[in-house]
Amino acid sequence: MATEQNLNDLPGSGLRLRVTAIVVYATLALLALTIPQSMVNRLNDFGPNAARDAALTLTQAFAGASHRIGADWAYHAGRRLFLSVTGKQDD
Amino acid sequence: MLFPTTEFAVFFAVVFAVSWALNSHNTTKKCFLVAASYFFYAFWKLSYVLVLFLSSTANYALALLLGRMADGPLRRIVFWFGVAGNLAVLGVFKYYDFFVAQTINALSTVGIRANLSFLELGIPVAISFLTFHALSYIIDVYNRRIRPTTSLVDILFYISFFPHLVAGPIVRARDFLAQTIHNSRPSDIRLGESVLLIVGGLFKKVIVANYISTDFVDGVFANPIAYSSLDLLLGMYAYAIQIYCDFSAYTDIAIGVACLLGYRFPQNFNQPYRALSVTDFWRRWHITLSSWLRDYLYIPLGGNRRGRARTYVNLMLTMLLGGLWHGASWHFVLWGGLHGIALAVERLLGITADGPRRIPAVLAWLITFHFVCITWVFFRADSLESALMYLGNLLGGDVFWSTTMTWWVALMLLCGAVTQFWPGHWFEAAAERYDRASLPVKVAVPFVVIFLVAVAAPGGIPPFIYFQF
Repeated sequence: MATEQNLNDLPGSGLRLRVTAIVVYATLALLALTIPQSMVNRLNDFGPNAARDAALTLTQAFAGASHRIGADWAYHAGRRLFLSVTGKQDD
Repeated sequence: MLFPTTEFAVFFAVVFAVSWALNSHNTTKKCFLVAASYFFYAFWKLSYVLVLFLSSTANYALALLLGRMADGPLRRIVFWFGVAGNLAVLGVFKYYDFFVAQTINALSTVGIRANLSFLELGIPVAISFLTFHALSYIIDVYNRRIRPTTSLVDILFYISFFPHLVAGPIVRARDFLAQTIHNSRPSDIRLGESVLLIVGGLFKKVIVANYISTDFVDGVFANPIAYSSLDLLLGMYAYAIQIYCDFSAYTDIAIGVACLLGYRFPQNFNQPYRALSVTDFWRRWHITLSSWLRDYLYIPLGGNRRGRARTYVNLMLTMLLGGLWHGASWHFVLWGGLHGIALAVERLLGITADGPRRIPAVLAWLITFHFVCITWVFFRADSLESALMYLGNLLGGDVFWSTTMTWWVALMLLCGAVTQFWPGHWFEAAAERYDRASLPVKVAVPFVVIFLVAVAAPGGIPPFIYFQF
């Protein structure tokens, strides 16, 4: 009879967790790569401290790299298109 | 920390990895999830964490005591002490200043000047949801529906688990604690369902609810005399869509996030604006609150077992208190009272959740939908006076045929309305299809939807409406 522990060890069970982890982290990584400015903007909202400053330096470097390889192009182009179609203005 | 933010994405990325890494050490995993939930809650205000911890610990000890005591008057006293204690926490933070203001006003009308002071403590986020979870636990222990848990970690985990902590869904202790006994099973993760709930929730909140609110509803409700009757009518419909998209988005994301961590939450919404009666509406809207009120208030009051007159009184009391639960203000009480009257009238006329039998379904739907929309005006308005002003201008405004609603807001309303009328089985079918898809498609779906939401997102995300409750 299957116990709690060996139910977790079933191959299908492990595969499902792996697939879920890939979906979660790949989605977040793609979002970070294509919209890196969101992390920089959010960190700028926090008051300065050592941890925030270190994270800000890191995310700014990441955002710069993303920009250099053109990974953030689609976001900016999409944003411009959205604003022009709806007549809205960026905050 | 709000769900649709970068910091929540980072927070969840860490919690997901550590939580599953600790899955074979269940107690350690629960300790980690408690710590993560307290960290999540501390983002609002560090001192609120103390309220959360003390409430959880007190209810843990009280439940242990109730579990050990034999039935009798002493046990009943201990139980009512616990109920009163939980309600006192809610009362001090949420209702004390309201009742002081009402007392001062009432005494001033008879010429007495009362020198009562306000506490002005501020309302800890989620205090109402926290109280409902705690009460559900001690009531179930008192009624011997569940055994009290000897693990403090389990109670801290049940009350503080971050997906439901702030705005529900209200999870019953017996349902949640049963899931905490063993390790979570990765095979229980419903990836398709979770992903669709999360991305759908983000779209409903960040795009639909936010634009309806900022581009139309906020202005119309702030100054109703400056708008045409048509605008006020559309504003009423728009708020109905906004509150649904806002609140259901929160619980959809909460259910999805919890499921990714291996925990199941109950459904909280079921296309409420399809309801054919007010009774039906309350089986579809905030289901976990209405079932909580039914099981822990209406039925203990006697339900429908003590005659017709008492049934109506119980219905009214339940809905009035349900209204007051939403906020310390008369417009919430009236909102609850109007729903109580509607439920009583439907019972009197023999109308069930299936709707009235003697009139066509379309007419029943129209009546129910407009009743719900009109009562939302009392819910949304800042005060009773502004709600009455809104409805007065709606019915007797000088200008009717002009509107300030933009095509973008109309499109958002259409998107919100569509969620009410697509066939219920479409969601399950889409989730199954997602689960069968290849890995690249599985990644592409959430990435593309969230990317598009970010492209069209407004500059700042206001808090969810139900955070204030």
